[in-house]
Amino acid sequence: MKFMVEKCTQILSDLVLYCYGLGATRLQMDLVPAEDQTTLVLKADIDQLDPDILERLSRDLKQDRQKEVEEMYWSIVYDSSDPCEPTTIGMMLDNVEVHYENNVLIIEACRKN
Amino acid sequence: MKKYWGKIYEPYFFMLLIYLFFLCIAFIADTPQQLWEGLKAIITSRSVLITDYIEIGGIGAALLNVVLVGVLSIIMLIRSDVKPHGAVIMALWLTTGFSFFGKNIFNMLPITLGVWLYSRWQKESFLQYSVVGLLAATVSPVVSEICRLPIGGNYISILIGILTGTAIGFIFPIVTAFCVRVHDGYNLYNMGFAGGLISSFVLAILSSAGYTVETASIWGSGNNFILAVMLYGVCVFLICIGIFAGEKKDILPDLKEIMRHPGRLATDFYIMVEHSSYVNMGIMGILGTTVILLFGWDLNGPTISGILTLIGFGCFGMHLKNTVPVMLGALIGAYLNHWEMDMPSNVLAILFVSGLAPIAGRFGWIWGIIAGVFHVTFVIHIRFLNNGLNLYNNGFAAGFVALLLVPIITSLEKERKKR
Repeated sequence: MKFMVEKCTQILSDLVLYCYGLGATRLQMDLVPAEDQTTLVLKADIDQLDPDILERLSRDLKQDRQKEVEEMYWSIVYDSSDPCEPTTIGMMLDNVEVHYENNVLIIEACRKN
Repeated sequence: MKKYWGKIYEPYFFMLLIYLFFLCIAFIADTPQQLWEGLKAIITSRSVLITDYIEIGGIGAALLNVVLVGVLSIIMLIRSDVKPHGAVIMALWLTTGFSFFGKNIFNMLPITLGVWLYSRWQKESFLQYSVVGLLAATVSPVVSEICRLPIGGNYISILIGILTGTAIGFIFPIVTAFCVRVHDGYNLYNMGFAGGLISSFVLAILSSAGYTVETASIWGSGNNFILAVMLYGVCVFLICIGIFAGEKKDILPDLKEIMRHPGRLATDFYIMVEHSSYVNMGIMGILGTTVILLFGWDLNGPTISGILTLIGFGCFGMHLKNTVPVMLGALIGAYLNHWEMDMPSNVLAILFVSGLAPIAGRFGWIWGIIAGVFHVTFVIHIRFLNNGLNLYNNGFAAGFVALLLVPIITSLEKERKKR
């Protein structure tokens, strides 16, 4: 798989941009590269996140990985002035968990190399 | 995902049923002898824009070409074990549509071979490049055109044509991945943009070598009744799939969910709402066909291609809410320019302006209308950059329109929000 590092860092940066758009006041991120997969964790302090937005975000991110599409469109994530559609990020991830507890949005994602 | 006979995913099965329907019409419309002669005429045609295969080979032969190209594409996808997501379904519909004008069983293969060689070069599965492999055939007229040029005899010309197509296919995945950055995903016909750039270079090289490439204007008419029945039949079939094949019986919430999305690349409605996306595809097809009939224009190879493109993107970014404004803008643009409104370039621009649908989806219908007006004005001029060597020429133009408009809109919108 080409551009593994670039794809992971840009997924994270796009999620940061997305959370910022939701009104995040503090952001923490973890990027854990391993031999077979990379784990990404993003925590964003967001006051009173609309449950509808949370549900949509979770649904859009929890797509099947689409390698055949990823190769064509990942550079939108890489080089976009706007945060891209969460669905575009979702198709680049294998497993995603989205939680919202105590005004903190937590996105945990895993991407197999 | 449901499979038939252990190998054929459900969306491929539905496509095969549609091809069977086309095949039946082909054999009803023409005799086997006519089909053979027509297919030969199609394969040996120049295929540059605008070459209507229905006009060249007849309805039957054009449909036979569509079926051959479509079935070959599905075999390729099945053999590569490609799971049919929205992008794959869209690519199949585009391939089907452009097999009515410009793409045939001969001129698409070298390009697909080039994409396959690139996947080998990268030591990766062809699965990852399968969609590019299908859509890269936007430049298939390059193969047909070079094969016909007087370069040292027929066989040498054919060999050079095939090698050029393979070379273009090899670089296509690289160019297309970069092109999407230029318009930020606001042009759904990104392959057309990449194909436009590549074919413009090819034309420049051919011109430097002293060869001229002329555009064509083969535009059929007089088949509106049979083609309208065929298209509406396909649309009704798609809507029935959406309603009856899925587990969910309540389609409206899914259509609402689809329309919530701006449609920017890459928004996969099939993954989001599965079978309900077929209803959206059917609706998009009805929209395209009705616009053509309402204005009394011709249903023929090129316009069918535009309608099938609308259907295809009905599962990958297009819906009524984001498409109608840009089409309305294109209609206004076509009305305002000094050419006849039913001029082929105007008619095609009105259908293919849908590539800019994400602009209306993201920034609102007013910007959508403005984008439509810009597009129809621009597309007529940009054709001369590649003289019809790029089939998705509207995608090429839409890329430039998005490149110009999106930064302006983004900047103005940000300023407006600040105030």
